[in-house]
Amino acid sequence: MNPMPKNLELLEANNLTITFGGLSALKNVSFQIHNNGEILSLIGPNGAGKTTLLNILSGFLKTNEGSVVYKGEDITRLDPFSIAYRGLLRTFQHISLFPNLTVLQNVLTGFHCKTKGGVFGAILNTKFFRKEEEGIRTNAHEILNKLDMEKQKDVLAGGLSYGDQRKLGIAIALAGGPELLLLDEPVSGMNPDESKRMMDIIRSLKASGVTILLVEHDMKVVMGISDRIIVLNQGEKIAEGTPQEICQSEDVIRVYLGDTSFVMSEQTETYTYEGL
Amino acid sequence: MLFIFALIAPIVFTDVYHRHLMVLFGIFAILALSLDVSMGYLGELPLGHAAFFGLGAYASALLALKLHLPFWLTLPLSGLFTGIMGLLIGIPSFRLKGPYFAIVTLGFAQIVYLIVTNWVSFTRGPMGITQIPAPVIKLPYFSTFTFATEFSYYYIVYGTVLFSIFVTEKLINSRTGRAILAIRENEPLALSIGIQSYYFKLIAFGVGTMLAGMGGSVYAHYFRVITPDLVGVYYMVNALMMVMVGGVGSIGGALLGAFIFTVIPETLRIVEDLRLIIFGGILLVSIIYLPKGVIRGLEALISVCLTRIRSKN
Repeated sequence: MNPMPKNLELLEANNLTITFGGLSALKNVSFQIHNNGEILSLIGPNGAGKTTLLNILSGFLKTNEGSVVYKGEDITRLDPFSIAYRGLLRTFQHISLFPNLTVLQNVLTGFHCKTKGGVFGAILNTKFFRKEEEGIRTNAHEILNKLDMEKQKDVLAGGLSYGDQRKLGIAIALAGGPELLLLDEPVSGMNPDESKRMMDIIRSLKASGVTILLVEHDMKVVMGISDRIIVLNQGEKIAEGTPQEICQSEDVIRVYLGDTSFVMSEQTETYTYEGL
Repeated sequence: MLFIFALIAPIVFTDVYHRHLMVLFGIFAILALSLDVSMGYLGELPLGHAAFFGLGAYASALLALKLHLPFWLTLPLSGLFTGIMGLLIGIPSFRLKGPYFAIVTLGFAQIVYLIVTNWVSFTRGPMGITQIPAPVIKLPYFSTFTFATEFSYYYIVYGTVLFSIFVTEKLINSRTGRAILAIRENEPLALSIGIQSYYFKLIAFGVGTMLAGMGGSVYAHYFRVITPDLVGVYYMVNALMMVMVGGVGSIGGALLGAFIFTVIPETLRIVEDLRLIIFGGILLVSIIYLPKGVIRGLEALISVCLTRIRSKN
């Protein structure tokens, strides 16, 4: 990990533009993620280009125009795996894990870019290999403990409950030691209890120094934990600011939030707003 | 326990025919294991896998006859050769997504078949290569020992099978193996956590083809006659069926598959003409009722028995 100058942004997206067969999914989107361990949320109606943006940042899609600069390095054209090696990891909107491996194996696999052991080390069972394996096992148990999943470590990932599968997705990404973590709808489909727990997890990640870019529809989650919010609509950035600023923005209310009074009030605990 | 049983098996069964079957089982076990590395663990389907087996046999035979190399060199060299061939096939074909890899390896098998059939001056074409020497150990101040009998050759096969199991087992239970399994399970997620899928596909396929080549080498020095049939469809289909019936993605499954395919057809010889029909029926039943392989059925059976025993105590 290179120490980076304080004034440098952790990530800069400059004029990202991408079209899918004539439909422009992103138009000239620019924003920065500050280097201070913030939680930045990305909201907007379905089809606004949120997941597309995440795919560009993590290298799964190549932008037509513009650039992505991570810690001062242009990563626009890099492959997903080499972006992961630089400490930028992501989760997926749809549940994505290794279903026929156990929970523990899933997390161990996540340590890939933190380890070096090769084929020959494994076959010859070298000291380096054994030490590395031991190390990541300890760390894997730590991550599972943190997410209350230690008990399920020997269960096949495909057999977990929906909420646990979502948590495991995050555990896999955490194993890679992220500096910037892109979370694509981490609480979608969770019940209020699970989603509250997930908010705690995200907060604790922030406390441990991970910067987070969050894509989420659940306004209570977004308003509750974000430091800043960016609003996308039809591929364009229409607003950026603190949660209070966003709630009061005329544009945002018109295209996305509708009536926002309930979001900020504490009485509507059980109601979850799902967007348009 | 099974290892020890396998070690003393040829002493228990003194019959030449039984010993021959055991050698055959060992050779097929290597072939099935090598296929399972690509098919079961990596999750790609190399339709032309047996071509590497045949290629290994030819490489080994030609090295022994033209360069007079001893078996102890031709065995690793033919493995090295087929492993490199595997990499050469993998480098272009893993750039493609979907079923192309299967098709490319199938095409490769056809090319190898045509070459060994038509390059008569080098491979003797359809006449095959004969008089391949048996492995020999020359000890100083001691008579030379030739592995020409079923009994002595069994231990060469046994050693090679152990080596294959060892390599597969170590490969899978390591960082590299986790990466390979991750690609099978979910390639986008694997990429997102830093796994360079292209590279690890090559490693898995390279190891698989290397083991296949070694299997071919062991075959060549046992039968001491090889023909282009080795590269053909027969071994390919057999290897695929062994892995499918035994259980995809498990070392035990591949071994069990090889066992089923060598032992059952032979025991069915008592019913003569009905032999292949009954064997086909057994395969059908096992695929329908144990689609994940006989080994999974056995595992389930054992775990049920164990829980019953525990609940009684």
